[in-house]
Amino acid sequence: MAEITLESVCLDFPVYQGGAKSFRNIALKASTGGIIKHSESNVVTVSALQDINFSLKPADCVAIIGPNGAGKSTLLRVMAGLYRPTSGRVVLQGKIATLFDLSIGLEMDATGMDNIKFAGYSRGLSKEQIGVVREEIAEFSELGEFLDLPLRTYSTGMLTRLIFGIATAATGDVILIDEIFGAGDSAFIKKAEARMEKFMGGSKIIAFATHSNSLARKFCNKAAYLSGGKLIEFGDFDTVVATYEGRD
Amino acid sequence: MRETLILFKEALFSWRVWCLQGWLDLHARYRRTTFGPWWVTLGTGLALGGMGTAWSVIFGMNLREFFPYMVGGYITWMMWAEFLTVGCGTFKNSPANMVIKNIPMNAFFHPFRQTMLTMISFAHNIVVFIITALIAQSTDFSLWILMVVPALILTFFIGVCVTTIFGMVGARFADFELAVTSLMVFFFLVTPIMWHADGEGARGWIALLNPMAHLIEIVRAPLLGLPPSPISWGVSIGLTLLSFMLMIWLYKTRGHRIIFWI
Repeated sequence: MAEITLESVCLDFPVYQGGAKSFRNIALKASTGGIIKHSESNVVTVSALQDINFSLKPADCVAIIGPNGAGKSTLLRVMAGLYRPTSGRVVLQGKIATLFDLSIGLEMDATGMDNIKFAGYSRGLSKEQIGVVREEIAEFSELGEFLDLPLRTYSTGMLTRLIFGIATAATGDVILIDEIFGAGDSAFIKKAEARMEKFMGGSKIIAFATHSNSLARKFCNKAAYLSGGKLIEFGDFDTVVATYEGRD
Repeated sequence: MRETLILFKEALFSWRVWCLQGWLDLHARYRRTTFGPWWVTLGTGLALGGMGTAWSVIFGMNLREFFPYMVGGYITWMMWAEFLTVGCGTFKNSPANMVIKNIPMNAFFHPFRQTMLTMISFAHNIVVFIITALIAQSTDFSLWILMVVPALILTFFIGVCVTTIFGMVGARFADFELAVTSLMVFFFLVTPIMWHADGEGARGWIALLNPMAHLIEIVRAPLLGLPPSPISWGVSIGLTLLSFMLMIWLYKTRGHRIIFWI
């Protein structure tokens, strides 16, 4: 059974800038015999998440809400295992699927078909499975013969449809979604939502960073309100949203 | 340690991904050109053809013996130069950096992909060697040529290790890539490519102490139809084991920080 639990997760983000990132410091440190100490203090640390605790069970769909810079994307990336927490831990059971920056890993000079193939392989699908999702994506994206042309010839809308099709082809038990409904016309959004419903269906866990309340209300039963890297409130969707909207 | 080894094995077995992606990368480099990756071959061929013309016409040297030796060494050197310099960007360059930040995926995949790309370039350059050998008619074709297969497999493997190590150091220290690039010309000159390693004195011991000389020799010798040198193979295998252990240790202790460096 899928489950994800965050136990007092903290994440400090080291920012390697100028002096700290240069090779010379280490080289000089060695040659000056420790008189001049260029230590790790040159690394500016940003505390991105502080003491986050919550647990998600199957069929939970949580909206992660909060102002810009609250740590929503960072939290999703910690849950995905991209960042290792500085302290605390993430206990995960099940397979992760992410929908973050959707244009990742696309080869603009390769054809739509090649991109589907590659994205499938890199998400761990077998040759047979790729055959299946290829049909699915072709149908969803309505790209027809354009699938045999390089991606750079696509319009933004066409690209969005393909990307969305690819990203939602690989499924997991825990689905993490960062704000993604930017581009696309209203017909696409409708279609995308339908596909999302199918993608999210079943007893999956979904976490969903969003600014769009209407979209979140449709899917989510829970919400997590983040601000300044801290979890202000976690619980029932309507209650948390009420707190969030009633903030100063 | 075990976890890191398992990750490495996983990446190794997902060869479909990195073969396809290495191929796409190479095509992306030569996008919209008619010759595509064959520009690798053409570029190398023209450079070496120029050298050959200059030496034989201007200096009146007889190149029939020497030229296949030099071309074999030169194309192998180009492969190594790419492992070392381009390797520094394995994690920090696009698209790897974007993948690392967005898709939970085995990071060893990136060095495999990078190494594959370089090996495919090398495969294109071998054509230059074949043409040279055919024109010069000086190399004795022998069954030793088959040794090129294990040599390239070993080269691929050490290439992955070196690319991972250089990729990590290059991501952490911005100066590293520049330092490596600056050292390349130096290493090119002290490696027996434009000169023969045989003979007494300085030539002999420079070639013996320079690890690059051995890594190049194991690939070049079979191309020339010569028997393998036990010393070169010994040094190459030793270096592979050493870099493999260094890579595993680096990744185990610092692999999770790569995302902060890029």
